[in-house]
Amino acid sequence: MNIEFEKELIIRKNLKEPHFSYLEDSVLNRKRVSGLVMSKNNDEILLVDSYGFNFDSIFVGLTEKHIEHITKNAPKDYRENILKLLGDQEMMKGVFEIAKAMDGDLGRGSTQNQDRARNVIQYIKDNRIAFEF
Amino acid sequence: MTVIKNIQNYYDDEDRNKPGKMVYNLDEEKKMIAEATEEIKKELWEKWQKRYAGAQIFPNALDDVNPNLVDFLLSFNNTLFYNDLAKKFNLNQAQRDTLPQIIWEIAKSKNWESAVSLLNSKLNLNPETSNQIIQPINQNILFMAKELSESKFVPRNIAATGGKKESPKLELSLLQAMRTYSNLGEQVVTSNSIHLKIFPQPVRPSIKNWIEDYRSVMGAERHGMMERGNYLFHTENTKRLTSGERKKLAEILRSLDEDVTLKVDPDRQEIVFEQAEEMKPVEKMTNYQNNSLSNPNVGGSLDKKENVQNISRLNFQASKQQIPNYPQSNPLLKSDDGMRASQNMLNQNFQSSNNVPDANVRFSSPQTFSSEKKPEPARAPFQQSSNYPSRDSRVSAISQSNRKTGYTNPRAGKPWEPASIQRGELASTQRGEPKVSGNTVDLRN
Repeated sequence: MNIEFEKELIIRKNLKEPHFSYLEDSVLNRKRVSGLVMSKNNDEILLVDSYGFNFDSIFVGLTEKHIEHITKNAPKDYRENILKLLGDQEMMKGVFEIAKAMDGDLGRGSTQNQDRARNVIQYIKDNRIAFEF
Repeated sequence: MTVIKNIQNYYDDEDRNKPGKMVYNLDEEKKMIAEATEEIKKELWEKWQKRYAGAQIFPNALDDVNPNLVDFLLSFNNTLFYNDLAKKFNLNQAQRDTLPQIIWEIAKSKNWESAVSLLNSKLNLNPETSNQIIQPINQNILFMAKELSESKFVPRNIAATGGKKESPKLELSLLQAMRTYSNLGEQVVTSNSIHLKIFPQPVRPSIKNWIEDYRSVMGAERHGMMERGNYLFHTENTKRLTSGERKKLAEILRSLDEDVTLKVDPDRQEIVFEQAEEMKPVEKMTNYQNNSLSNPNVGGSLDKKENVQNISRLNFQASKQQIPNYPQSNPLLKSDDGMRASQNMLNQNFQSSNNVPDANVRFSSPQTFSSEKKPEPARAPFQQSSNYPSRDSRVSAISQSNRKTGYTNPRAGKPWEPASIQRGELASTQRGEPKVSGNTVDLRN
């Protein structure tokens, strides 16, 4: 590889552990993580460590396509972590906090990100049978 | 406009590349990062596939449901459809959430007629509303679900393939394939490491290294069947090959010499050796023979008769290989090879002008197997550099660096000894150094 070691580390972190990309726990940084996750394609989303799906910032970044792909292709541990997150009130509060902040960036009255998060949660509820082992 | 002029001046400046001038090419940097990202992605993806190969994707509750039906029911569009339905029929959230559960229940039980009664009972709806709701559900979900449920069962193995469909194999000559897929040359085709004239240590038996060996022994020009046969049976590296391995190598060299196409798996960037696959049982047996001859403990569970048969087979093969310069008896080469070889020999004079070794074929990486590596002496403990950016990356950097250097504590596993003894031990091993014993230092040496 032709790049420096530090850059390689950053790339690896962004692919595998985007939830650790920013050490400081602020809404701004969590929003950045969500944006990073949102920009991933279906294959890349599976490269994120299954442990990452315990984090609100990762969950907010999930699109409708991502969650469908995860449900159809990801192994057990991914789903178990997602279900855990849904049962964690603190994390769910975080999910909507981040989504609201992202909507704030889009302009007044936008609920695009909050709607997406709601849809993703609804999808998981609808297909709970595929999540419960 | 001044900005454009300034940029133009910057690029026109001939002194720009002289030492002392800082040049930062953003495009180049972006390109490098994009390439590295792709490389890392590929590596992580391979690891992911290995880690989750054969992993359970769906819970056991869905074992009896046709995978095609599961795929269909897991479509995100269904969630949007249930949302619309709830809006249209004024269903509350609890009723809306029950709808998909009813569908899953029907799909599992395959009781397609029970939909209306389940809607009545589970959603507490009157029969009239149930009849209205069932129509769009039938149209959008149940009819399709029933069809899929009755369709042919296609076993899924998504964990192994990562949900990707296997792409068709390509037919390419070796050089074309190596030009197209840069990693293909690194594919290992035989089991034991090989020796190259230009490299002191044994190297990986990769395609590139075999080509290097072939060209260094036989010359860089194209060769005919007879020459190839000689190489395949009588050189230092090829002598020890099993018949399956030799066959693989024969295919590669034939493609190199005659541009015969090989099957290439574009996803894995590998040549697919069909004949070698067929040879596998024999290969296993010969490997076993090698092991059993070198190590009497291996294969001890097999009965002696079998051992004797295997050894006699090995002797037979060996005696065949000892026949010098009779490649016509080579069972690996097809009958029409003779014709092609003679044609080749005739054509060689014409071809020789084009036989410059391909620039793309480079010597393979000197990476060696772990068994080939010489034991590394213990090195000085890792010293942390001060220019790492963050705490996190520092930790990773240290562990990564220790892993890379193979650093091990030189005294690990040894019982504790006083420092003086340790020093003395060290001193006695070095000639000309003062000898330390207790509090005295012997400088006589």
